Amino acid sequence: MKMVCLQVALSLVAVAAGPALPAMGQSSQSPFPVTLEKQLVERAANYTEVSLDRKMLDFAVRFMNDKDDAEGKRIVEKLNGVYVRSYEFDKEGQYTAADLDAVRRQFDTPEWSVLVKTRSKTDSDDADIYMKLVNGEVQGMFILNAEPKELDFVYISGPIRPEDLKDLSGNFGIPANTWEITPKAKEKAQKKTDEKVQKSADKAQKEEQP
Amino acid sequence: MVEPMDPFERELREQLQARSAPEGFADRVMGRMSERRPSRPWLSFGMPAWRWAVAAALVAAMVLGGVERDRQQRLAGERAKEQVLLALRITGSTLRDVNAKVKAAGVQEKLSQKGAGRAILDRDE
Repeated sequence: MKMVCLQVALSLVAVAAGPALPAMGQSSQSPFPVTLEKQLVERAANYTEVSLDRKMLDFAVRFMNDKDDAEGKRIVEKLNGVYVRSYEFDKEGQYTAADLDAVRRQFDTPEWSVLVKTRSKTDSDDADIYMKLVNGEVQGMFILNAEPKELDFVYISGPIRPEDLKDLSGNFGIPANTWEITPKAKEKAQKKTDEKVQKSADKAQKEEQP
Repeated sequence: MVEPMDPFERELREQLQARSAPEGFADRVMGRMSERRPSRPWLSFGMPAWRWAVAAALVAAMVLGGVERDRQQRLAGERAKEQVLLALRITGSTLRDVNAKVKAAGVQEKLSQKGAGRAILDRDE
């Protein structure tokens, strides 16, 4: 009888202490190629990986009650996920153009448009910003920044307005007026997206025909 | 005429014959009973002490479990918040670097237009 009671007590403690904590290590699936991530981790001297899905963001938002967190909270609470990978290398040549292409391919779908693309001759000083547009609204953003000894990927999933990034200016290390998506650029990106969607629809139609 | 009893019947009758208890027997029995009866505490409500102990342990376990859960939740929340802030910081610095490259590329593009350098900006293709 005493043993049963003890077991019941332990179960109650487990039940009382167990729930309501999201599984920290299982927050999400990576939007980046997993094999490449592992390779980069092995080659990197330092790396930072942050994967926050909707559940984790919602959980974190509940604790962002400081005055300084207000802006970040307002932005983050609308998002579906934030995925950040930052690798620092001891020496140059730790990643290849093919590695970068493998990451870019994840965003090579009709919904995504390239907003900014800078290329260096050595492939080790590239920068990209992709934007996911759905019905004229930005629903995601991908940033790639490659430097000789550093590689950064940022993928933000969910509605993020250009104004949001503007509001972040001055906070979280973002200097004022760093980034602004002009209505013209947005219009152009939307046009490109529409063209891409049309092209894939045409292609699919052609493939269906014998 | 009375039939003679056999020895067994006689013995049985003798054994079953009513006998009065020895002097002071009832008092002694009552005295012993009061000695053996356990003194119940005023809180017992008819439940043995060990059950009270188990119940108290259960309540304590639940309270401790709740406190521990709150602590774990607060820690996990703070950790999640730190992760969000870290992600925003890295996003910020990445955007800053990209912005610097775009600006630098813009300068080089202008130079290349003058034939002084190589165009490296490929914007919106």
